[in-house]
Amino acid sequence: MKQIVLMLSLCAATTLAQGPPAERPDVAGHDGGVDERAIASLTKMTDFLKTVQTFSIDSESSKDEIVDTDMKIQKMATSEITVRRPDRFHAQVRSDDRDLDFFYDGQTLTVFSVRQNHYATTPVPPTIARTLDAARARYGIDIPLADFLQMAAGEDFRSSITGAGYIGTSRIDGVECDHLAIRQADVDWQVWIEKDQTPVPRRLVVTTKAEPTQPQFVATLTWNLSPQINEKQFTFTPPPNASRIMFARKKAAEETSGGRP
Amino acid sequence: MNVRRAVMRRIRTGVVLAAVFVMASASTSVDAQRRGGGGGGAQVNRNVTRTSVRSDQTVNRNVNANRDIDRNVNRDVDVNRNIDVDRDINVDRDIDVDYDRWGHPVARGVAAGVAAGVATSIALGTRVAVLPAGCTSIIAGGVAYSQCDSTWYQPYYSGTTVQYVVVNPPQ
Repeated sequence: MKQIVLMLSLCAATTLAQGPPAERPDVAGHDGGVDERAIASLTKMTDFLKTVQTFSIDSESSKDEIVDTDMKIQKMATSEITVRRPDRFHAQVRSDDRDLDFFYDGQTLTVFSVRQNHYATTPVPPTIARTLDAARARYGIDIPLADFLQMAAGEDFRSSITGAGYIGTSRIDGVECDHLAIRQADVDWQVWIEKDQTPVPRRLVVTTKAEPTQPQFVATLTWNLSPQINEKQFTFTPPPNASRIMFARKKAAEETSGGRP
Repeated sequence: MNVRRAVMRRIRTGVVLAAVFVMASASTSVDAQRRGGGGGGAQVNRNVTRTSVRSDQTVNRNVNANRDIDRNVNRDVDVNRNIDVDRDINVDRDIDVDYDRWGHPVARGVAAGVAAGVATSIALGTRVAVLPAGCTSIIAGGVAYSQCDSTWYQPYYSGTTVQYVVVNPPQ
């Protein structure tokens, strides 16, 4: 009996903690419910990103991996990406599993595995946006925070959105941000957009809905809108003893990962 | 009363056994997950978490609209004419590489080959996430290989993970 009372009081506490219903955003479960404030904030961000020619983003992120069917393991990473539109970027990713450097010089993309001292280089299209897409479609390569690079290149994300809510104001690293919650067919995502004159995204959460465990990718971003650019940083020079390997085309890559029961 | 106590004891024993079983299986694969770090974990973990809100369909539509895949295919092969990994990987498309729950390939050919003392025991085109112990890294003709006894592996990127495919020894 005592346990039941305890459970009931816990339920009550949980309900109270959620606050009055009036403050709940009109997103959850309401596909098609699109809050104009959310769209306005999103548009302000994408319009701003299109005006920035060079920038760098430092980020700290976590990504859930699944073991034993339903246990989530959080893998951590830091990354730094420097971009000069329309045709240069350099990225460094330091994660639990691998350390990778990416180089794009307008003609080729190189992925360098720091720990194994292997690199692969492939010819790619002449813009960042097309290179990101080609690398993902051909080889299954995801460059960190590529979505924001695509927004900067003018891609309109709004057509995929089935619901959007304005959650409210939230502070990320002490800076006031618009907190938005967005629904799409395959993912839900949240973004925190700076409220001041530089409306950049400061935090991103992507929830994969296709998986029963609903794993998440969470990244906190620090932007530099006037980074020091050195032309050499976009060009890969193999370190001594580095060996060149190949990218497997995506089909083969999928077959490999599909080899598990 | 005695019967009830006996039943309770049996239930309790069952619960304890079940708990031990769950703990054992959980610690096994979590442990394997830890050992798998450094890239080898790719076969153990289900790496399914999206980091992009853009769907594959959107990406493919853009790529096809720009013909960005076709345009590069030939140049890609030419640039890397020393290695043509695509060919190596596709040699034995039908090979069925089973992975045990720790991500090690259960290459049926291995056991058979070892038993029979056959020199090349693992079929060409077999792909693994982790090399066996005691391999030697060799660069031949500018190409990286790992020689593990009589089997030669060539590293390649599967996405951004380095994996290995069994190839013919360099000429």
